[in-house]
Order: sequence, then structure tokens, then C-alpha cells
Amino acid sequence: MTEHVAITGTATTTLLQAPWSASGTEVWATPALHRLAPLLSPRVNVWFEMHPLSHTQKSAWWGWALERQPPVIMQEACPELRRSRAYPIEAIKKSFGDYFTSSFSFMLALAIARKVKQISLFGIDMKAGDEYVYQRPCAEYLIGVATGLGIKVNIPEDSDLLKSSYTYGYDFGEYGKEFGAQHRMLDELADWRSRAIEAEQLVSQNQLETQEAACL
Amino acid sequence: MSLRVAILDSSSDVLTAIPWDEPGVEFWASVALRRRHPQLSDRVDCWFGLQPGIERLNPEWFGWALETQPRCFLRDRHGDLTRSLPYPMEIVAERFGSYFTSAAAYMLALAVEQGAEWIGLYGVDMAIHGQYLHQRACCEYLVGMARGMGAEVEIPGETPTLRVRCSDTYESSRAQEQDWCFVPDVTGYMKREGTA
Repeated sequence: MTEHVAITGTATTTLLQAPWSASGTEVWATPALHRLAPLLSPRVNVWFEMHPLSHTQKSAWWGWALERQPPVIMQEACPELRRSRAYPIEAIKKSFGDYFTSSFSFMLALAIARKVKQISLFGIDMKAGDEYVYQRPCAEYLIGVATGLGIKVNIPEDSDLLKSSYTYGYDFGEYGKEFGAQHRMLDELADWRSRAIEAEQLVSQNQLETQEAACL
Repeated sequence: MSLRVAILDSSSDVLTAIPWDEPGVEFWASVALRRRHPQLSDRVDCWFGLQPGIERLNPEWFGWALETQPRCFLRDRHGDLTRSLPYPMEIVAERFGSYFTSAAAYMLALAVEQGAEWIGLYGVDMAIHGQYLHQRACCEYLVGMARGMGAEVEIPGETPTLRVRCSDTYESSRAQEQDWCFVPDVTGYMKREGTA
């Protein structure tokens, strides 16, 4: 039984750090890897194509897969890919709910369900765009589940996962510039307010003195 | 006795389903809660204010706290708040690292650290905009960890946290239905199925 799964994405910062030929490690990838680095394709142990078949058949990977017939996990087993298997979506949904925002999240959930001892993540930065907005929270949720269950999750230093440019309250980093500006604005508002109160008191005092003078 | 914690934050206009009358539940809140829901202040058991300069950033809460002297975790102990304690950052960081992007994250981490068996999240919406971009992922990571460790984490139905408008790839038509998907308790299932 596989004890270590290396899940790979396409971020070049950490992709090549994956253990492409390590024994005891299964490398899992999506067809996007084939588009980026076709030379790595033969090193992949299991492919995950979670998009509908119509989408898959348009990809460069499809032709390669028809020829090589690699192990593939898809939405449904496909007769043209003899070693394809259907992703166990119902069992996975029962375990993890219905919160999946990327192929990577499906891969993570399956690795957890298979009770591997170690999951390593390479080429998965989730730094920008849709990835960052929608995919990252879900990915980090599943990383949390894995960690909580005692599975060792390895994330390269260069990946953005489980990192932030600031530690709330303690070290605001870049975000602190904005935060510092808020502090300065609050200070200015407090100054402005106290000056306005003083001015109001002064006006009232002057009016009182004027009225008193008029009475005399 | 097992710890049960309801975490209250201020990112919702309406806070619903808070189990006020449930025995044994501790109510923890971010100091920002008072700005939006001052009427709830007296029901909070412990406050969390992790930003530096609490007097200046939350003067209203600070004034109220000077009068009522509530239990609170601040970044550093405050001499004028006699029941304030410094947040145990070193202990928590040893277990969770320094990836904390919101007050809710600190509350979640402390609840997990203290072995809470039930955690409820109320007003911790983190719908995707502004600073919540940074905050949501971290919060979901800690929710995942809590669930993985066997805690039950309850999130009210209308909260966007741990929900998405459609699952990737499978049912894109659901994006049009605008329904949020709910994540059930993963460990409960895994224990039943013998996978955990």
C-alpha cells in the first residue's frame, strides 16, 4: 500500500523538487502537467482528470494518454482509457462534504481517505487569481484535516500554502503599511476631534463673553 | 470537563443560532464584536484583542472593559485591565506555526490547543472580499485541523466559510443555482467508517 503520495501542480517554483523517481512514492498529477512539461509525464503514477470528458478530449494530454494508457482517475471510467477508474465521489462527499474547488482538492481528499502516512505538495503555490480566491481556502482546509488526522503534510518553503505576509497582531509585514496608515488616520481623527471640541468651547465662551458685554 | 467553545466575530450584521442557553458552552469573542453588537457584550466569557494599541483601535471596547474588567486575552497583559492575560503565542505557535491572519484564527487555535471537543463559529463569515481574502484560508485550515483531530465544528447554515457556489468540475450548473455547499463533520464519518 502506498504510504507517500506526491501531488503535483504546475507552479514552476517547486515542481522540480518532487521526488519523480523515488521508490515508495506515488506521483499524482493532472493533465496540465503534460502541457507544461511533457517530459515528466512518464514519471507520473496516477493521473487525475476531473473535468468532463468533452473538455479532456480537447487537451494535448488526451492523445498522449490514448497511446500510453496510463492509470487515470476520472469522473467516470472511460472505455478508451483502459486503466481509467471513476473517482469515488459519493464516498468522498460522505467523508468530506461537498466542498471541492480544484482538482487538487479532490486529490488531497482521496489521499486522506486512502490513509497514506505522508502527502507532499509540489508545484502548488496558489498565489494569484482564481486559485488564490477560491481554491486556496479549500486546499488549506483539507491540509488541515490531513494534519489533524496525523498525516504528515510536506509543503516546500517556496509554496504560498499555509503562509501569509503577516502574522495578525504580531507582525503585520507589508500589510502593516496599510495598518500603519489606519493608525495614523485614527490619530489624525482624534487630533481633529479634540481641536474641534476646543474650537466649539472657544466659540461658546466668546459668545458668552459677547452677550455678557452687551448686557453691561 | 470537556471544553465547548462558541467563537463570535463581527463579520455578520446578524448573528444567529448562537447557543446562548446551552450549558457548558464558553463564549469567546473578538473585541470588534462590541462595535457591531454591543448588546451581546455582557454574555461574552472571554475577549480576544490581538492587535497592538487596543486603547486606540478599540476605544469604545476599552472604555467598557475598564469599567467591567472582563476576562480577555490581549497581545500583552494590560495593567489597567486586571483580568487581562497575554495570548499564549509561544505555546500556540509551537503547535500551529505563525500562520495567523485574523482574531478568529487565534481563538480557533487556542480552542484546539485546549482540547475543545466542540467549537461553534458565529459571525466568522469571511465572504471573499478585502482582507477576508487573507483570513479565510487560514481559518479554514484551522477548522480542518480541529475536525481532523476529532473536534466537532459547527458553522451555521448561512455562513460562507467552508462553502462554495459550486464544486470544481463536477456540477458547473450549480453555479447558477447560487447554493452554498455544506461540509459535514468529516471525522464523525471517518470514525464510523473505520477510516480514522
